[in-house]
Amino acid sequence: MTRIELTKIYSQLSNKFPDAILPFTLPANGDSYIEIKQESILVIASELKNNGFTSLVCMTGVDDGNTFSIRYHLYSMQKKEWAILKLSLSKDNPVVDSVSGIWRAANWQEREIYDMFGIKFIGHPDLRRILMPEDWSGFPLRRDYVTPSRWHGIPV
Amino acid sequence: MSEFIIEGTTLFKGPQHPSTHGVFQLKLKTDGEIVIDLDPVIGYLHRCFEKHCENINYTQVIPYTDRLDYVASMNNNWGYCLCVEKLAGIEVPKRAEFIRVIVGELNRIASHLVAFGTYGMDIGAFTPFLYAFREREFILDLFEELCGARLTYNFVRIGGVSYDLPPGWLQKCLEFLDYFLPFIDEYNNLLSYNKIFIKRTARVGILSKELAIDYNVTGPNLRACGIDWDLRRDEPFSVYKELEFNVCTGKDGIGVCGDSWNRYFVRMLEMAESVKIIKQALDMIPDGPVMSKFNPLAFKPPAGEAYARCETPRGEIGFFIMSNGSDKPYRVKVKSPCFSAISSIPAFSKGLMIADIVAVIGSLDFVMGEVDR
Repeated sequence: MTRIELTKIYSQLSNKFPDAILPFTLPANGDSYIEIKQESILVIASELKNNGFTSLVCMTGVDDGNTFSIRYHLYSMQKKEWAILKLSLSKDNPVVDSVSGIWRAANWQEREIYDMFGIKFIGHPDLRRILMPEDWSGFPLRRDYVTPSRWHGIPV
Repeated sequence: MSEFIIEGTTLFKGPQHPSTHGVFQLKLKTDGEIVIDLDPVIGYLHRCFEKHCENINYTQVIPYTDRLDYVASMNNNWGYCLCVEKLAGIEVPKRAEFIRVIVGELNRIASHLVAFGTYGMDIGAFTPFLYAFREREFILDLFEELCGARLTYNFVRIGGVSYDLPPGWLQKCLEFLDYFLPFIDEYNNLLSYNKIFIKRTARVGILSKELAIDYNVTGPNLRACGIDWDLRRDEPFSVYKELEFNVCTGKDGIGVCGDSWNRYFVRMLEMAESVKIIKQALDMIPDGPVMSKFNPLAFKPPAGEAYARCETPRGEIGFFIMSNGSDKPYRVKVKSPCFSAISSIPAFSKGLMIADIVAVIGSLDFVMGEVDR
């Protein structure tokens, strides 16, 4: 399997939105990604959706140590092309605009990221925990998470 | 004139309901027999797969992937290994690729047999279940001979497969295929074209093309909507490029595109295609090693990230793996096809009868192990 290179999409996007996109480097190994600014996600997302990227294949939250980041794996079934977006969020106040109005698949994916990392999505219609119990405290996929020994008296 | 306000009754279907295929709960808001709103509740089978992966090395993750979709473990192993191989740039020997295709397609047949049998049972036909499990048993016997396990195989490994085929296995596999193929017609006569079954499933729960793409529904559920898309043909991985097969899609006729009957029937068609693929692979399989040269104990892929997806019986399973150069993955994320399928249920199931909800969720054929991870 060949790795995903995004040089073409990057030049298209950076010509149109020079302020919204951070400089692009091709990583030494693995898939590349386009890093965008946190506040411009909705503009970039709707632009890509209008350009045929009709499926939001995967949304991943990552704890990078000092920051959180989110990857958006977008795919265009007509052009058979990928677009991978990355945005970084501060750990003190991880808040980002929801893309669930653009792709409905984002609804549950964002709930999962909220559940696991505590990242809040502004404009999400129904931001609740999805996999963990509703009264669970803490966000399990954060690197500094400590597993509680008991939950309602049940050993974890 | 003021509008009527329907308060409705809330009905909790599951998590122990037999038709929910595992521990899955639906909160139904009903007005009499009509469902006016529904909310799927998942998470009862959450086993922290992604958290576990932070503390184990790359090879140790494979047995966990068995337990995601335990009805089609081979395909899950395969999806994970594809992603690691992409990240580390490992070449897989040709013979191993063919073995992967053979076991992957055999597992697809086994999985579709479970889907066919249990769906009949959900609707009220008990007999097909026994037929389906009779033939599935032969596939499990083949797998048992191959790797010693009947359900969680741990057979596809990073860089190849764990063992070469035992002597005479290919012949047994061919005999099974010749024995199995006529049964598909029998299943169709038994269930697919049964009048009662058609009444229960055709034109029930119609998922439109646009909704399916918007919710990223994949696999047979997407093809049932009439969308001609299959990862094996359109973005070929492994050796699928060299094999010939048709992509089965839903058609208007007995049902309409995207209804429960088509979602069920696409799976029946796919079984015959899988038989075709395996027969070609059995002819073409070369001799040679089944594992590339690499040491799993000292395996450290270079830093980077990769996303790879693989067509499983339930749709496209995607793995996102991030490496920081150590022997343990920094982050493993699974994009489950059933997760997307379940998230789409509220969009097209409002206004159905309570009994039709059973027909809809059965036709989506999800496995909760993969949804909750």
